[in-house]
This record gives sequence, C-alpha cells and structure tokens, in this order.
Amino acid sequence: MDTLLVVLQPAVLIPWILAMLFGIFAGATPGLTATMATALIVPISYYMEPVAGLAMIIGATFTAIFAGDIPATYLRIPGTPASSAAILDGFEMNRQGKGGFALTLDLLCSSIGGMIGVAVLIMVAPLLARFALRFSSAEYFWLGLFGLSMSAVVSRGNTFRGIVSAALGMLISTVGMDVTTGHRRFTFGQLELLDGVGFIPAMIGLFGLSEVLKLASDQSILNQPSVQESGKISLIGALPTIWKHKITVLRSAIIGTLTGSLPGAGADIAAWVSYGVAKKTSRHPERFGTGSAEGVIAPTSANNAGLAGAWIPALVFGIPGDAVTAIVVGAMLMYGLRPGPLIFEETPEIVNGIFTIAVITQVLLIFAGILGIRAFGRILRLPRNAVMVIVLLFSAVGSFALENSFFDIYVMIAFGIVGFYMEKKDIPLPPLILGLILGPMVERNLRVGLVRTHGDFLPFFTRPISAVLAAALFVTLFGGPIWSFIKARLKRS
Amino acid sequence: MDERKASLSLPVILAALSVWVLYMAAQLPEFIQRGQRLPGPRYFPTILSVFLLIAAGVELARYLRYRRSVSGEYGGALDRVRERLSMLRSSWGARSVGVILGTSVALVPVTQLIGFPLAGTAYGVLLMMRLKARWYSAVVVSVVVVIVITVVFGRLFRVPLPLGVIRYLL
Amino acid sequence: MGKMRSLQGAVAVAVVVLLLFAATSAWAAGAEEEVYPDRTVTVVVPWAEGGGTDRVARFWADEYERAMDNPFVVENRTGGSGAVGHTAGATAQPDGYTVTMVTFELATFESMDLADLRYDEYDYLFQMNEDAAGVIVRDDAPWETVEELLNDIEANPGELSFSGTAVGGVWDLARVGMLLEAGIDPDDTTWIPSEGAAPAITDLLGGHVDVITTSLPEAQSQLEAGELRALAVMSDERNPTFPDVPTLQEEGIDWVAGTWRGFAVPVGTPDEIKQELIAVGEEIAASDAFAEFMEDAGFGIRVRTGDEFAEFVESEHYTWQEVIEEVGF
Repeated sequence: MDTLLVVLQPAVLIPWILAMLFGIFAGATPGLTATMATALIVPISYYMEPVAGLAMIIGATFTAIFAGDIPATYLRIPGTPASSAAILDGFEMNRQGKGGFALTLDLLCSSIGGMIGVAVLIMVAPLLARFALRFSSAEYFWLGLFGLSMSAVVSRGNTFRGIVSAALGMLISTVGMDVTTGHRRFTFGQLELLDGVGFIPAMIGLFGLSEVLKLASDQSILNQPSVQESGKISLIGALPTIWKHKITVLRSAIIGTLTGSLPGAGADIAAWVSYGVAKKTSRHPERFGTGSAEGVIAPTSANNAGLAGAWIPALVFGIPGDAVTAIVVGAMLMYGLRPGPLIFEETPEIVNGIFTIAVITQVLLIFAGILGIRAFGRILRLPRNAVMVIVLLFSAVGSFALENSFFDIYVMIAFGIVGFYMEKKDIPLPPLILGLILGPMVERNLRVGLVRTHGDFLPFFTRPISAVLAAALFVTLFGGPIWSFIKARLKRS
Repeated sequence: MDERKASLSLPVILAALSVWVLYMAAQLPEFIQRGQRLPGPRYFPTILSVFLLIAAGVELARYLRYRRSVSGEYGGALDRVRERLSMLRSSWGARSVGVILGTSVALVPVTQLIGFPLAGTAYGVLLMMRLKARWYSAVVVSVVVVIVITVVFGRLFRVPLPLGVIRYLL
Repeated sequence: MGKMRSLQGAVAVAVVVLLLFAATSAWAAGAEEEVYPDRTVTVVVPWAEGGGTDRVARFWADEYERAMDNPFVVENRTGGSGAVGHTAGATAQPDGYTVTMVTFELATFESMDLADLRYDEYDYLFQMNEDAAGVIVRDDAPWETVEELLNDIEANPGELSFSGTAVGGVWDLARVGMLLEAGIDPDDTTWIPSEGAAPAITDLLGGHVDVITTSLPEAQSQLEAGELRALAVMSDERNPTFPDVPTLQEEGIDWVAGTWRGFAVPVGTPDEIKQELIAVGEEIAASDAFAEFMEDAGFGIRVRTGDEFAEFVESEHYTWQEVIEEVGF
C-alpha cells in the first residue's frame, strides 16, 4: 500500500505519463527506438527520485513497443524491430478497412501480455533467471533455428521462395566483423559496415520505401486519402474477439516472457515465434496472413511480455538482457542501487516499486495507446501523395538517426529497391527480416558452440535443454506430414 | 503457373550473387584452433550461397517450363526484354519510381551541403509535385513535415541533423 | 497540362535559386571566427547511447557546458568496434569545436588492421578513467590464487576456457598478455568469444566457461553477493573498492592491462584552445561531483594530463602491438 502511494504521488505520476507519451512517439516513428527514448530519459532522471526515473523508463519502453505496431499496421513500416511481425496480419486488416479494429486488439493484447509478463516477473523471477543460466550456445542455436523455421510459416503457400528470402537475409547478416574470429567479411573497407548492415535502415527500406515505390506506380490513387475507413476504435468491441482467443494470448505471453528472460534472445524473436506457434496450433491456419485476428494477437501479446521478461536477468543478476535493460542497469547504478542478487534483500522497496509501476503502466498504456492511434490515424486522412512524401522524409531521417550515419540512408534506399523487386517477383519479405535477425544468432552460437566442444557436434543433441529444443524443431517441421502419414496408414489397415 | 512466378531475372540475379559470394568467401581465412579445423568465417556464406545457387537452378527450370508452355504466344526472349523496356520507359509509374529513387540518393549530398531543413523541403516539394499534388499543398505539407522532423529529431531526440544555413538564420 | 508544366518549372527554378543563396550564405557565415567557444562544441562518442563511455561523456559534457557557459552536445558515432567514431573525431576540423572521447581501442586499431587510423592523429587533452582487467572465477572454483590457476593450465593444456569479449577484444588481449608474461602458451586455454562482459558473466555463472577477465566493477554485483570471486587484478595498485584482491604484480607476474577513457582533439587544434579545455577539465576532474559520479557508476578514476596522457597512449600502442603480433590476429 505504501508503495502504491509512493508511485502515485504527482512527482512520480506526471513525469511517468509524459514519458509514456514520449514513448508513443518514439515507438511510432521508424528509426526512433525504445532504446533511444530510454537513453534520453536517463540523464533527466538523475534529478529525480529513483522511483520516478524507473517509472519514466518503464512507462516509455512499454508504450514504445506497442506504438511500434501503429505504423506497422497503418503503413507496413514497423516502428521498432519487435513489431516487425505486426506487418503480417495487422497491415492486411488495415487494407480491408479494419485498421482501427486491428490496433484496438493490438493495444489490449499488448496490455494483457505485458500484465502476464509482469506477473511472471513478480512470481518466479529468481527461478526463471536460474533456468536461463543453463542456456548456452547449443541452446541458443536451436532456438534461433526454431525461429528461422518460422520463415516457412510466414511465406503464405510460397514456401520455396520464402526459404530463398530467409537465406538472402542470413547472407546479408554475415556482412561485418565476424564475432567468433574477428575477421571482416564483405565490408569493402567501409567502416560503416564493420558492425554489419544496419537492421533498422534495412527494415525501413524493405517495407516502407518499397511500399511507396509500389504505390507511386499507380496514378489513380494518389490524390485520395490513404485510408477511407480505418474502423472504429472501440475497446468493448474488441473484447469478445480477445476472449475467443484467450489461449493464444496466454500462450504467446508466456512464450514472450520466457524468450525475453534469456539474455541471448529478445522481444523481436518472441513475436515471430509466437506467431508461428499460433498458426501451427490454430483451427484456421489458412487465415493467417490474410488479416486474421489471431495473427494480430499472438505477436503483440508476446513482445510486451518479452519486455517484462528482459527485466528478469537484469534484476536478478544485474545482467542486462537487451539494450534497454543495459541502460537501466547503468541508470540504477547511478541512483545508488545495485541490481543483482542482493537487490531483493537490500532495497526491497525498490523492487516492489518496479513491480507496482510495471503493473500500473499496463493500465495507463491503454489510454496512451488510444491517443497514439487517434493521432496517427489523422495523418492517414491526408491525400496519399502527402502520406508517401511524409513516409519518405521520415524514412530518410529515421535511417540516419540511429547511428547518425548518412551511409545508412543509402542502405535504406538499397533495401527499398530490393524489397520492391522481391514483391514484384512474388518473393515474401518477412522471411528476409527473420533471416537478418536470426542469422547471427544461429551462426555465432553454432560456431562458438563448436569452439566450446572442440569441434564436437554431439553435445548439441545430448545437452538436456538442447535435446528438447531440437525435438521441438523436428516436430514443427516434420510433425504434420508424419502425423497425416500415420493416420492414412491406420485408416487403410 | 502464372507469369509472375516464372521469371528470368530472378535465377540470373541469384546465380550471379551466389557465385560472387562464393568467390569472396573463398578468400576468407580458415579457422584453426589448436590444430583443429572449425567452421570459420567462410562457413555460413558458403553454405548459403550454395543453397542460393541451387535455388537459381530451380527457378531457371521453372522459367524454362513456363516458356515452353506459352511458346508460340510470344517471340524470343530478347524481343520480350526489349518490349518490357520500352513499356517501362513510357510508363508514368516506372518513371515515378526512378524519380523517387534518384531524388532520395541526391538528398544525402544536398543535405550535407545546405543542411536538412532546406534540402528536405526541396525534396518534399519536388516529389509531391511529381506525385500530382498541387504546388501549394506540396509546399505546405513539406514545410510542416520538415519543421516537425527538425524539432522532434533535432531538439527532442538530439539527433545531430545538419542544420546548415538555418543555423545562421535563427 | 502545359500550365502545370510551366508552374513546375518555375518552382524548380525558385528552389535552385534558394539553394544557391543558402549555400553562399553558409560559406560566408563560416568565415567569421571569434573568441572560443562561441558556438556548440560537439563531443564525439564512439560508443552507443546508455553505455559506460556514453555516460561518462555526458557527465563531462554537462560539466563543461556549465563551466564554459556554452553548449557541449554529445554525438554518438557508433559502429566498427569504435572505429567509426574515432575516425570521425580525428578527421574533424581542428578548430576545437569537435572533442572526442577516446577509449582503449584507439591504441589497437592500427595493429588490428581495423581502421586506417593511428593513435598519433590526435592531440591528447587528458585521461580521466582506467579500469583494470580482473581474473574472475566462480565461487566454487578449485583455485584460490592466480598461481594455482596458472599451474592448472600448464598441467592440463586445452582444458580451461576463458571469456569476456569478442576475439581480439580488450579482455582477450589482457588474458593473452597475462599468459605470455607467465610463460604459458595462450593456446593452452580456449577463448570463448562473447558480445561483451554481460553475456560472459552469464556464461560464467551458468558454468559454461571457467574464467573471465573482465574488469572488477563489471562483475561487482556478483562479487559482492559471493557468487563470483576475483583472484587478481591486472593493475599496478589494488582497486580501492576491492582491497582484498591482489594485483598480478604482487603475484609475481609483471603485467598490467585495462581499458581507459579520455578526451582528445584532432592534431592541429590551436594551443590556446587545448590549454583552456585542459584547465577547465582539471577543475572538473578534481571536483567532488566527479568522484561521486565515478564511484556510483563503478568506474575507476585515473587522471593523466596532456603529454603524460599522450605518452601513455603511445606506450599502450606498442604494448598491444607486441601482444597482437604474438598471437597473430
């Protein structure tokens, strides 16, 4: 009760809400990320109580990760890497004039998913953190491969070209300095390429610019508004749909939290994996990719939960699981707190404060989110040619902003051309993004794993968690065909 | 199989890319630790480009099969390429795509020269007019968007956008 | 349609005229110079927002801003293991309006063949931080001293694994130098590449590696909680936060290694400006606020000014060159 009073005093509440509005903006603008928002909040927060600083960071990051779905749904440009899965069904729903409905679902599920993630964080953080310690290269390798297998799931009946697309993405991800040996690959002496092809500029080009190029070839639609009818934003109206898919929400949130709690994985992977799992277990897998509500619900429940999961190793060990929590750990040190095994005993009031803030943030998120959806929807009423130019300008500046690099603008343009060509040739784009995200995870962990075992492959199959993950992958890939083969055999006999 | 699915450019591009990557990867060193050869820097690029080379073969086979099924309806492959090119040249949409890409590439050096506020506005106005907007709405939209971007990115998020001349006007 | 065309033409001409005007006025404005500093000073940081270097740089930018009554703005130029930012800082105009927070990596770019950048392309102002490498193991590890650990490596070559950074990163080089100095072939241990100290600590806690050579503050939480144990620190004096941890030199191995941070400007920056920046910097470095900041963040303070700092960077360059050539990265 004391904690509640502390976090609801105006000195905390006002910066908190402002930070959430800030988060909406950062999330919804491609190129501005939750990480940047956090980095900007931290120096301001030194002049406040630690609780206010933490409230601002938690508020901004949870809203940013939801807000990333807004441009993904309306414009097919993911605002953050974690919302790249929202371009699948969210954008399709928007095309059918149900963008508002998709985002309402999205918002509520973000909030519920976040709530579940926080609940897990509160109840079993130390336990889960100990479990996560057992993950090493072999486990991350299988997890990455499992994620990659989702490229077949998101290719919409064009599996072969989906795999080609994923392979291209992985190939692009090998550009830069090889972490395992320190050698440079395909950098052509460009310093900017040493750390690889920038993920955000690639994503903006692949989806944003290519979409603009596609629209530019049709002069009949240029002076019309982008969206005639974006659908009503009614929270109550979305509830029955969510209730119908409550299992999907719960399962995705749990997948999200678990994935997020692993220091070597994050909310982006969580979103894709839960999308794939939802499709595999759905009664209507054929509707995925055509604007299915389940396809909207699964990734968004997972990514907010994943964010909560990332706090688990940060709090329990003081070891950040992603870029945002890395900044948080630094900030907490500055507040005179030391996240790690002792924080639960030494400053329980701070831990309770973080938990309380995280729970209330999920509620406030709904209000901030509606504001964001409304504001963004307004832009879409402009004529299409205006929206296209706005997108182009934001794409260029957004690509530049992440590393303050003009080179990244060229990267964005190159990926725009690639995306435009691939769509013309009917090659699905989402697997390429999957390859880009997961390529390094698979490659590094395979190779580092082999360094550990001195070249022996066997431990990849015999380590207990590894074995389970490998089996899960096998079942996902071959379970369906084998099952139908057995059924056919049984029927015949 | 429809025409979009069968394409000649796809296998050609894939094959060229994978051969080039194979060549580049072959120059990367091996990874030997304590006398033992482990998968090194070239391991993944090589696997992936071999796969893409195979994929190129499959796509080529698809294309040839498709060509056979429609042979007689069209002339030779060269004629079709020529036909496609002339279509592209005369098409308003294709030229728009070219204009967008060209101005986007030009945006970078111009921004470095005169700063983002002016370069961005010019870029916005030119493109909106190309996309059939009236000139006054093009100017209004571009100016407003550039101001919003400059304030939000430059001030709020402290992204060091080159302000160029505007810095002296302020 | 024709009318539309001519209108388009008119606008195009107008835009071009505007651009020309803009370009000339920018050039004209650049010509005048006054007392330093009369406009924003950019502080280039070669590492990402929110990281350790960024936090130190932002503290200093704030302090400078207050002391000199002039905006100091941090600009993160990340990428290429620091090569992008360090190169940008060295090639900036030597007018005192670009100051770079240089880090340890600057001394290794040339030897690692990472960037076309030598340490002597900078004029050094002062160093304010140094964090020595440690030798850290799990609490239940069988070794009580570095000597026991090294004996074990000699007795069982190839058995033990170390981690802390990517291959050729600072903590890897620290390990190699320590082993070379102790007369052990570095190849008798396996380096497990990681993407930084945090994943290496996780790996150590989970029992996937045996030893990490990160700095002590990076593992402070675990050290204090008794989950990890430091056998030694690769510094010339003990770390005041961990007074019980002996230095390698005390253990008979003459090896010192660690990361450091400092400020530098491009070669050719006017002397008056450098002196002014150093004078103000010395005041800040002596302040209580700075001491408090570094202690909270867990960073070690080490101040070297002007020539002393330049000589230090030079000696670092040669030390690391030797180690890097020895293992052949």
